[in-house]
Amino acid sequence: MMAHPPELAENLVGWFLPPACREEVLGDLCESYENVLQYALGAATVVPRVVFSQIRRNTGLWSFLLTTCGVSYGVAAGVFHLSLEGHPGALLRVAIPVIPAVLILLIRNGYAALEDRRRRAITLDVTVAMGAAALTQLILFAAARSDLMLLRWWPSGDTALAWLFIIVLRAIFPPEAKLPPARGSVS
Amino acid sequence: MANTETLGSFEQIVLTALLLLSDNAYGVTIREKAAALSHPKKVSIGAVYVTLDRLEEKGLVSSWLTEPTPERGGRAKRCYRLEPPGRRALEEAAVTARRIWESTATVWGRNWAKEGGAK
Repeated sequence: MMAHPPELAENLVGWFLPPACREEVLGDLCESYENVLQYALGAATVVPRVVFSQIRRNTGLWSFLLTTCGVSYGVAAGVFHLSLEGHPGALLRVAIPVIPAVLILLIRNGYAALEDRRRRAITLDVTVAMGAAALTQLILFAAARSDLMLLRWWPSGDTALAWLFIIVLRAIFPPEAKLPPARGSVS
Repeated sequence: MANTETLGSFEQIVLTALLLLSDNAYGVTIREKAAALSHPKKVSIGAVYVTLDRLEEKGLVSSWLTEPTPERGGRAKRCYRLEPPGRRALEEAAVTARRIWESTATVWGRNWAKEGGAK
């Protein structure tokens, strides 16, 4: 009888794999199984690559650029009422929270599936991304107190506008998941 | 001459593996064949997935899922097939490789390649 990986290990790896390639990758890892360590090392090298590949495949250039602009506007809206004079590098500092927010949205693109088209999933993705931006702001503020750390970022109307813009954008141009064809379509 | 895709060296290896495996080309077998072709370089299955994904996006290969099998823990295989544009791109790459081999052989001697080339 062939050795199979522990169910727990398979479930864990399956949780990290994008749905579009979960089936075949888990099958290939199972077929190549020798021991738990080899399985873990194999999975550790495969998962980041397939996630990156799915992100690249599911993310449209224009959608990505518009999303980045939307997130940047949402974050930068918090400093529109502040004078940036005497704060060299202020805009660069403001750009920092944009990075985790955009990264979260990109990673969600990698895990896109048909159900991601649901309004609730889109809203959740964008809310988590904007939340990550806000959290980064708070960490930066705690690390180095400054007006530019945007404590008044939360109630900004422009931020809410940017949040809505990204939701609408992702609803109109959802990440295009390349789901596997139906089983049994062997030719 | 029809415009064909320019292939990277690992893409050429993966397409050659698909050509050799014909109906039995899926992740594990493609990696094994690609590793044999790339010897002594090591080939990770992750690199194979990424390359296959890119080749499929370019329309050079196509894929489909088979029925699940017990030896794979009840999981399906994703099988791959070389499509006509992929075959053309591979032919072009092979012609270029042959030209390179012939050119280098005039300088280094034909026995160089037969003896295994640079080790």
